[in-house]
Amino acid sequence: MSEQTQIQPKRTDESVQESVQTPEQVVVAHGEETIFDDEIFIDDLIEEARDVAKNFKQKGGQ
Amino acid sequence: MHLAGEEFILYAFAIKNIDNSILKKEKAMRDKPVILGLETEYGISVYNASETDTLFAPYDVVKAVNDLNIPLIDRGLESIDTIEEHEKMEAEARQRLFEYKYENRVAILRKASRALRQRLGCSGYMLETGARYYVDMQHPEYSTPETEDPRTIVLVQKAGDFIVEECRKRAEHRMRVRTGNRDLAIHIHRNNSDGKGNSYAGHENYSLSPNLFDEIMYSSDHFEASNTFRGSSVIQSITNTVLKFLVTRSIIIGSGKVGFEEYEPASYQISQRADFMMQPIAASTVYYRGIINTRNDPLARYRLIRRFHTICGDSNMSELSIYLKCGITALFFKMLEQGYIQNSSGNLMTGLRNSVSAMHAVSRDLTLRQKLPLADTTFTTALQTQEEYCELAKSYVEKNQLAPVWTDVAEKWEAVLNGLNGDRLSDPWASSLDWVAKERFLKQYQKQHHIDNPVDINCQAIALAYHNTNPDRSIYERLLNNGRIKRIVSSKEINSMIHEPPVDTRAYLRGKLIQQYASHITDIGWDYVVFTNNTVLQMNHPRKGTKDQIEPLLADHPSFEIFLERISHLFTTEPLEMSHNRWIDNIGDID
Repeated sequence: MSEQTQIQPKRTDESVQESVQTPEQVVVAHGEETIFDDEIFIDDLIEEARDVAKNFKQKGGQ
Repeated sequence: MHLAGEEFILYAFAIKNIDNSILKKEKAMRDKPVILGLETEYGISVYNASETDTLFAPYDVVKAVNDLNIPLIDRGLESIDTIEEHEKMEAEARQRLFEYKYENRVAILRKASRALRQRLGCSGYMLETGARYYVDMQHPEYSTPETEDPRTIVLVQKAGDFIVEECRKRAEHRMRVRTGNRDLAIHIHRNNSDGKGNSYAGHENYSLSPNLFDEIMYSSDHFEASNTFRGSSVIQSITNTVLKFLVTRSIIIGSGKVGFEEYEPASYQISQRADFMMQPIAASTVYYRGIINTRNDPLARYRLIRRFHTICGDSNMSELSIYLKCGITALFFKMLEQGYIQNSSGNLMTGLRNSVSAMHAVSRDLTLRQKLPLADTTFTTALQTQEEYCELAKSYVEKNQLAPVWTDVAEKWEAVLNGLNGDRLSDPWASSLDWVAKERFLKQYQKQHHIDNPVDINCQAIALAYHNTNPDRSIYERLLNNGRIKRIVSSKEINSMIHEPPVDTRAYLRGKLIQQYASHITDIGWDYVVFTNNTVLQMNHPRKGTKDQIEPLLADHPSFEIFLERISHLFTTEPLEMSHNRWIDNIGDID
């Protein structure tokens, strides 16, 4: 069936796997408030995401 | 007719044999693992496009599967587009399914209108993975193939998401070329609500024995003690414990939602679907939805197996959420099948006083400690109830020496509950659930950007973008790739399921038939195949047609005719004409 596989496989980079195995201590509890010591930036997609959210309306389904 | 003497003895003997046969098969059914399946209606939006292009976008996306050059069977892209039409077809389907108890399913389908065939699962494409891909109510819909394994259900769901995304890209490209508009964009979201009062499905399916199914659906004491005290038989019932489980599992399977659409105001909710659950038990899937949906279409031999169609859960992005959603629910039903919950000490069988109110309350209670009134005038919390079920499940798995995957489900269930009991945002397991991962990211974003209003448009945008199927636009994918969300399966495993069916159910045979004998197939559904030689293969045993059974039969690359002869010992084959005319509820072997 090899000739049928025109679609490319999903992520195959092992870095994703490795990062999963790493123990996650990305946040620490501090009093009543959880402090995040790392940041994931989404500046590149937030503007488009805002436009999408403003106009997001769906047909009712099941 | 009056029977006497020897005639009566022979008659009684025959009846006893039939009853014993059914009981034996029912017991066998109760001992088997639960078969799992998921259905997803994807949210779809087109930007910078005409109304017509927007209207046809779901069809364009689904039809784009032809561009992937994968083996499939095209069954026509009929669609039910409106709620009114769906309701009408649903009512007709219920009537037909009553006949289905006595008549052959293929005969029913052959007589059905095109719209009814769509409602009964006979349109769109059947893929080489054994999955179904179609359009329903203006949404692209993907239904996974059947499997008994909760890890495999994660794989086939993720493989399906990947196929949908590949189709989106191709449909978007075609639409841009056709319209000459390079700014046109198709967005697909795997969520359940548009925030404006419209909801669409993330359905689950679990195989049950007919006895348990009937007890849940038709038990005379299923009414809750919501208004009046009705006595102990009402307080404790199978139906009530199912309702309690489904309501409280929201704290594990929720996808998280900014805002609310019905009932009490909320800035953030655990569940996307809770606002749309309006009754404890109901038939409708589009208007007044019930926490328990009464759809009774087993897609298998009616007297031996039933399909519990669950509509109150969320579609999940997180592998852990998908894994636990199916895993803990399957364990719950397994414990019910074998009387484990019924015979347990404590009040696991005691129902909620009002499950619908509790559903809405649990979704809004971010402390997870809101007291939920029980029918016996005591109280519980969602967390406490789930801890009780989890504790019982751990002992059930150990006592019955279930396969290792079920031990893993029970352990992760416990780990997640422990995390929810503490600082969930810092717990690696709890924060890998969709609603917690989203909550955590929203808090982080609000803090970074000094946003005080939790329903700010940026928060809404983030909540929506979490579910985008395009990895470049998906916040879920970004969190995953940064190691913020734990994985259950690997990318390599997902890739392997893009072209292969699960090995442990009839989905394997369905997939192999599509891969190797597509030119001989006229029509193929969940439980039947019609071949070009006018032969019908009745695949009404979901556990038959597994890799173990089928792979050896394909080893020498047999011709279609030889392969059909080989599999006839597993399933009934008969001429199409006979299939039309047969009116019989035959009792076959379950194994």
